[in-house]
Amino acid sequence: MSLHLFLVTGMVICSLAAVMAKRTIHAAIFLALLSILLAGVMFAANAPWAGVFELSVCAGLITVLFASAASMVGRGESYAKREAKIFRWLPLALLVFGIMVWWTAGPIFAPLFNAAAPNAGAPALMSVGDIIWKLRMPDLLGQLCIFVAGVLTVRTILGEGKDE
Amino acid sequence: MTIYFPAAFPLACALLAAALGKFMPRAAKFLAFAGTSLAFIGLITLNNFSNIINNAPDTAALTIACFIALYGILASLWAAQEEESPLFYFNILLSTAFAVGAVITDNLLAMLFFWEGLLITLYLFLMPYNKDTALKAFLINAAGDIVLLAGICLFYANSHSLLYVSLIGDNFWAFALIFCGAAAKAGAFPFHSWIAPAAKDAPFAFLAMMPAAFEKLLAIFLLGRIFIVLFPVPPDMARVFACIIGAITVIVSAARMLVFKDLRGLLAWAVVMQIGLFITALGARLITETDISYILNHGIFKAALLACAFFTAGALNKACGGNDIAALRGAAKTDILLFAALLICALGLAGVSIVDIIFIPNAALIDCYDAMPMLAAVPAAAALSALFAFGKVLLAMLHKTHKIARPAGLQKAIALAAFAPVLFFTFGLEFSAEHLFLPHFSGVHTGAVSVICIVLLLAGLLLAAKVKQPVYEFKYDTYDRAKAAISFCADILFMVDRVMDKLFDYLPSQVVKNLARGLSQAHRGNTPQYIIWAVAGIAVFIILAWGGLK
Amino acid sequence: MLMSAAFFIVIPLAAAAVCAFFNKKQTAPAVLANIVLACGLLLSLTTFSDNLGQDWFYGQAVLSSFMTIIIYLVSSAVAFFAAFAASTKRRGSYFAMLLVITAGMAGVVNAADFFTLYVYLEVVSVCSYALISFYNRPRSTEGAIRYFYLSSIASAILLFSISLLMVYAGGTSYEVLTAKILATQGSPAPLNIILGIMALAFMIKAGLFPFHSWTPDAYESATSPVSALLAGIVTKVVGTYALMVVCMLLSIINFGIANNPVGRAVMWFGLASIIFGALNAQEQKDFKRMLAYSSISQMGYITIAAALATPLAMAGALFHMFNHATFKALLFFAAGSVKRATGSTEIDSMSGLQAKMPYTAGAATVAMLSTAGVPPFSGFWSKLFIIAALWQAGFYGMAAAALFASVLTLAYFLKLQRGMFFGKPSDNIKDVRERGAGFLIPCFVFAFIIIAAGLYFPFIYDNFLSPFIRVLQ
Repeated sequence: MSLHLFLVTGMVICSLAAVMAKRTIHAAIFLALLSILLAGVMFAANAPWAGVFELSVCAGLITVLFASAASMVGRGESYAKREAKIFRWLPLALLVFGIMVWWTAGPIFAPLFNAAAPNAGAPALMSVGDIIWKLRMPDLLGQLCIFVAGVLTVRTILGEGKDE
Repeated sequence: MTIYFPAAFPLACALLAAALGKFMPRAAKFLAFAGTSLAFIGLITLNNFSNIINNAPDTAALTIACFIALYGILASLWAAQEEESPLFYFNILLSTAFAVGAVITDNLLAMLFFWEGLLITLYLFLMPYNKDTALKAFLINAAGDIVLLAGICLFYANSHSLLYVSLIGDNFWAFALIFCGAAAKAGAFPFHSWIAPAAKDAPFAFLAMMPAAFEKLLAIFLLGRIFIVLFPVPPDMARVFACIIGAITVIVSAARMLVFKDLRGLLAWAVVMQIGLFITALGARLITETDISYILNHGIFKAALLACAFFTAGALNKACGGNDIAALRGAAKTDILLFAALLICALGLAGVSIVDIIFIPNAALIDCYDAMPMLAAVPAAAALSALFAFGKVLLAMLHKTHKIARPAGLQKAIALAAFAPVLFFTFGLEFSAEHLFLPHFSGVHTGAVSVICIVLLLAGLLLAAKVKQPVYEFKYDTYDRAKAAISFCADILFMVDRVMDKLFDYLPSQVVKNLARGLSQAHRGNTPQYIIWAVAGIAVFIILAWGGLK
Repeated sequence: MLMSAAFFIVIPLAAAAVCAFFNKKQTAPAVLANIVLACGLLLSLTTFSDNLGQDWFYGQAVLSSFMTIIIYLVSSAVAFFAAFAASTKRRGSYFAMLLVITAGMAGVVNAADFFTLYVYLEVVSVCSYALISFYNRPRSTEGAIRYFYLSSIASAILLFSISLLMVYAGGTSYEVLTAKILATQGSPAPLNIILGIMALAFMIKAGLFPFHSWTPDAYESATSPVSALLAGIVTKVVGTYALMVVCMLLSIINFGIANNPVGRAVMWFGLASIIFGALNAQEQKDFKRMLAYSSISQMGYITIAAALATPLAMAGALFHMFNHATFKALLFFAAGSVKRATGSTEIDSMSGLQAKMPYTAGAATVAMLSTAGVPPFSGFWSKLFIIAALWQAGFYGMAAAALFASVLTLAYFLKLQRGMFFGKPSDNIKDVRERGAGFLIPCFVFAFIIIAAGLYFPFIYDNFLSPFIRVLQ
C-alpha cells in the first residue's frame, strides 16, 4: 500500500512538473520519469508484461521521439509568459481536487470495489501471446492506426513545407 | 321535348340574329320582335294543346311565361328605338328563350340549365357599358346559382327525383338553399349589390326587362314551385327563415332608397325592396293559407309595377333629357300621362293602391301583423320609405316650368302599354290559376292604412311648395353611417391587434434576443473559461445522476 | 467484431500509407482517396443487408453497419470536396489524414469492446487535431488546442471508467457487460455509476452543453472540408454513437427505461444543448459559427432521444444522426463555396448571394429547411420520431421544449437566409459566381439525399430503421 502511495504521489508530482516545465526537453524528461514510476506500479500490481511494455515503449521510445521532436521545433525556450501564469495555479487546483476526491470517492467507489469480480475465467488461462493475437486483434489494428495517425500528425504539424 | 318549342323560337331567332346582325342591323331588330312574339304565340298554343302534349306546364307557369314573353316584346320594341348593337337583340332573344324555357320545363335539372343560362346574357348585356359592373353582376348571380344548385342537389338526395315531386319532410337545408337561390336571382339580400351599379349605366330596355320583369317572374315562379309543389308542408324553420331574409332586404333597400334623387337609383332599390316584401309576405302568410293564385298574382303585379316604372322612367328620360330631380322639373305639366303612370307605379311600389283600396300589398301588412305584430313594421317601413323617396321626384315633377319636352315617341307608347297590366291589377282584377288569362275580380278589402297613405299623399301634393325644400334637403345615407361605424370598429380592432402583437411577437423575440446575447457574451474565447464550463458541467451531471442513484 | 469490418479499417489505412508518400503531388492522393472511399461506401451499402442477419448485442450489427454507411458517405463527399477546395501543397498528408480518420471512425463503430472503442477514438482525436490545425494558422491552432484540452479530459474520464469496468465486470466487451448487467439486476448502482462516467466522457466528446465551448472555435477556424467532416461525422461517431451504445446498456439496467437517473441526467443535458444551441445561434454574425451552434442543438436532439432509449427514440436518434450528417455537411460545403467565392463568411457583409450563386443557395436552403424540421424533407421525420417518442414516454415538457427549439432553428436559419442569400445583391459580390462543379456536386448529392429520404421515408423506415427497432424490442 505505501509503495503504491509513494509511486502514485510521485507520478502526480512528475506530471505536474511536466506540464509546468519551462523547456520542452525538461517536460520530456519528466514524462519519462512518470512512465518509469507507472511501470513500477504495474510491476507491483503483478502485471510484469504491462510493466515491460510501459518501460520500453513509454520511458524509452517515446522519450526519444519527444526529444527529437523538441529539437525539430526548437522553440523550447520561448514559452508564452501568459500561459505560464495560468499554470501557476495548477498545483493548488490539483491539491483541492485531490482532497475533494479523497472525501467523496470513498462512498462512491467503495461498493464498487467490494463487489469487484475476480478476473474473468478465460483471459487468465490464456497466454499473453494468445490474448494479444486472438482476443485483442482489433486493438492491434487500432495500434497500427494510431501509429500511422501519429506519424502523419507529427509530419503535418511539425514538418517542413508548411502552408501559411 | 315538344314543350320547349315556345323557347325554341326565340333561340332560333337569336342564332339568326347573331349570324346576320353584322351585315344587317335592322334584321336583328326585326328578329328580336319576331322571336319574342313567336314565343308568346307559342305559349298560347301550348296552352290550347296542353291536354294532348305530355308534361305540359300548368296554367300558372304559362301565365308567368306569357308575361315574360310580353315584356320581351316590349323591350325589343323599345330597344329598336335606341340600341344599334346587334348584341343587344341577341341578348334579348336569348334571355327570353332561357327565361321561358326555365318556366315551362318539367324537371329541376332543365330548369337549372335555363336558369344558369341567364348568367351569360346578364353579363353580355352589361359588358358594353361597364365591365366591372358586368363582372360583379355575373359573380353575384353565379353565387346565387351555386346556392340554388346546392339546394337542388340536397333535394335530389332526399327525394331521389328531379321531377317536380313533393317532398313532405323537414329537410330544412334543401328548402333554405333553393329558397335563397330563387330569391338571389331577384335581388334579395345579400345578392342585391349589383343592381344599383347596373342601373346607373345600363339602358332602360335592359333594366325593364331583366332585373324588373324576368328575374322577378322567375323568382316568383320558383318560389311558387317551392311552396306549392316541392315542400307543401314546409319545414318548421321555413317561415322564420323567409321572414328574416325578407325583412333584412326590405330594411336595407328602404334605407338606401332615401339617398337617391334620381329615378334610376330609386327604381334600382325599389327592385330589391319588392322581392323583400314578397318574401316577407310569403313567410308571414304561411301561417294562414297559401294558394297558387296568391303567389301568381302578387308576383306578377310586382313585376309589372317595376317594368312599367322603368319604362316610364325611360320615356321621361327621353322626353326631359334626364331622370333626376333637376331634369324632371315640371314634367307633370308637359306629360300628364307619364306622370300619372309614374305616380301609380310609385304608389304600388310603396304598397298602396289607389283604386282598389286595399289590395294584395296591404294584405301583406295584415298578414305580417297576424304572424307577428313586430313584423308589420317591415312593410310599413317599406311604404314610408318608398313614398318619401318617390315623393321627392314626384314633387319636383309638379313644379312649374317653362321647359318644352321633346317628343317621346314610341317609348311613351310602350311605357303606357306596360302600364296596362298595372292598371289591371290596380283595379282589383286577378288572373285565375286554372285558365290562362282569365281575369276575375278579387274583391275589395278596406283598411285604414291605405286611406291614411292616400290622404297624406294628397296633402303633400297640395302643399307641394311648403314641403318641397325639407324633403329635398333630407338625406340619410345609411351607407356612409355604416362606413363610419365600421371604420371606428376597425380602429378599435387595430389597437387590440397592436397590443396582441406586442405581447406575442415583440416580447418573446426580445426575450430570446437578450438571452442569446447574454449567452454569447459568456463565450469570449478564453480557454480557462471553457475548462471551467466543462468542470461545472461535470459537477452538475454528478449531482443529477447521483441524486437519482441515492 | 464482424470480419468484414476489418476491410473498412485496413483498406483506408493502406491507402493512407500510400498517399503519405506522394506528399507533394496534387492529383494522385486526391484520386486515390476518392476511389477508396467511394468503394468503401459501395461495400458498406452492399454488406448492410448481410449484417442484418447477425444479431448480437441488441441490434449492434444493424447500428454498426448503418453508421459505417454514414461514415463513408460523409468521408467520400468530404474527400471529393477537398479535392477541389483544399488549397495546400501537402495534398498527400491531407488525404492520408482523411483516410486514417475514416479508418478510425470505422473502427469505433465496429468495435465490440469498450477498450477497442477507446483506441480507435484516440485515432480519431489525434487526426482531428491535425486536420483542424493543418494550415498552421494561429486561429486554427488555437481551436485545435481548445479541442485538445477538452478532448483529453474526456479521454481521461473514459479510460478511468473503462478501468472501473474492468475491475467490476471483469472485462470490457459489450457481451461481458451485458452479462454482468443481467446478473446484477438487484443492485444496479455500481454499473450505473460506471456507465454514467462513461456517458460523461462521450458527452464531452460530442460537444454538448456545457462542454461545447470548443466547437464554435474549432469549426470556425478549420477549413470547410474539415469542418464538414467534424460536424458531419466525427462528433457523431465519437460522441453520440458511443452515447447510444452506453444508453442501450443503461436501458437494460433494472431502473428501467427513462427511470434510470443517469439516463435522465443525460436527457437534461441534451435538452440544455438543444435550447442553448438554438438560442446562441440567433446572435451569431458568422456563418460557420452559426452552423457550429446549430450542430450543438442538433446533437442535443440526438442525445435526448438516445438517452430516452425506447425503440422509437433510438430509431429517431439514428435517423437524426444520418440526417444531421447530410445537412450539416452540405451546409459546411456551402459555407466553403461562399468563402472561396467571396472571401468571407460574415453574414452582414453580403446579401443577395442567391442571384450570383443560385445552386449553392438552393442546396443550402434545402439543408436549412431540413434542419428546422420542415416537411417533406428528411429532418421532419427524424424530429417527429424524437418528439413523438418523448411525448409517448411522458416527457411532455421536454417534447414541447424540443418543438419550440425547432421554431428557433427556423428563426435563425431564416435570418441567415435573409441576410446572406436573399435580397438585392450587394456591391461587394458583383463578380462572384459559382465555383465550379467540384464544389457543387457534393452539395447536390446531399440535397438529393435529403429530399429523397424525406419523400421516400417509408423505404428508409422499412429497410434501415425497422430492423433496428425490431432488434431492440
